Amino acid sequence: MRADDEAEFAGLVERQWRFACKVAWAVLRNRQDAEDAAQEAFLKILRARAWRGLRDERAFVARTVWRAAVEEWSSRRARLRRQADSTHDAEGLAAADRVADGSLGPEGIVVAANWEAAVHRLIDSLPEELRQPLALSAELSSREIAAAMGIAVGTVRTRLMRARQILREKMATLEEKRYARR
Amino acid sequence: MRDDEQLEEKIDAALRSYAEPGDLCEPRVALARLRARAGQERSGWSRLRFAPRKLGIWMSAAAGAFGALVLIAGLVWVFGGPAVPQIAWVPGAPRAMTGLTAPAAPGRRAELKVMERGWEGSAKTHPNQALEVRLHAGPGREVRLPKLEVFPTPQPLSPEEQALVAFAASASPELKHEVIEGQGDLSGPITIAELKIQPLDEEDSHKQLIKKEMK
Repeated sequence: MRADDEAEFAGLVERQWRFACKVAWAVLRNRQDAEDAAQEAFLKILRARAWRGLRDERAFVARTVWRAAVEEWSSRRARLRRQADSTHDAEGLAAADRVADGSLGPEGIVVAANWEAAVHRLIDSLPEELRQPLALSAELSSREIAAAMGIAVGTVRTRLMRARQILREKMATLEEKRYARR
Repeated sequence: MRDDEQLEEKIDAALRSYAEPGDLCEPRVALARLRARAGQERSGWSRLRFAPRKLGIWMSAAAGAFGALVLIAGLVWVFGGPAVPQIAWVPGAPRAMTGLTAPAAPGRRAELKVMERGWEGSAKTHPNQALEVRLHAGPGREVRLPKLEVFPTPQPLSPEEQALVAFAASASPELKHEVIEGQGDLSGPITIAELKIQPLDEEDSHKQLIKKEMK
């Protein structure tokens, strides 16, 4: 690789590394795996010399990292089952429901005491098709999410609305339980 | 309304924290790792680049050995094998035959089995290594007439047909017409012209008979 190419690639990594890790984190929810996926994405970019002449560097990186993260997520699915202590999303959803309705017992009460952790758990319990765009929405616009996931912008907006609606309902229930205990 | 706005703000805040992976490695560390990985891949590629070269050498050697084997086999077949006798075919002899082997010494008969029914044959080798095959029709062979181009097969005319041809060639048109007219109504009754027979004179007839006997 020529020196100027290497300098350009290094600049791309400097600018987009953290953003790439956030995109991968939104999918994988594991820091080490997110870094691995981001690294894999940058390696792909390096192999293809794809950083030259990019019109939207950020969208391109988001798309590449999202693909790498989804591949990673598929290959390491068993290991990446999230903290819901479940083997299926449905079970995770049920566990989150138990957090929301306060029937989780002493352990659930401890978890529910940590409001932020409880909300994160609620987000985790969403179906993947809703959770991923919602998680990405903190960093990306609807258009960027659509480009990264390869779906229509309208679909992204619909999914975001549905995800927020579910979150609103569950958080309202959680808040009621929380204030009722005080 | 106020509660809804607060809830939305809480959701946004939760999402921001949810999307925050925490302490990540520095970009320069990531870049160093990337360079190391790329370097490993390059060395791997160089190994792979070497492999086809080695494979090519092996394939060339194998092709050379195969060519040499083919050449040796060809030379053995041309120069080292038994003499192949040349066959002088008798015209009309069938080509389908088995068991034709060149005899060990010139002048001796060879084995021959003719596959076509009704044919018998013999073969022998001449001093000049030519194998002569002689074939002839055996006793069981059917002699068939050659296939004719015209059907049915032309036959000579019968005497009646010949007479009819002669009549048609020589008779006058009136006579032909009468014959045709006469054949016109075959379904009707046949009429025979009246016969007129004169009475015999016994004395005269007796005299004439004696004259004939005298002659």
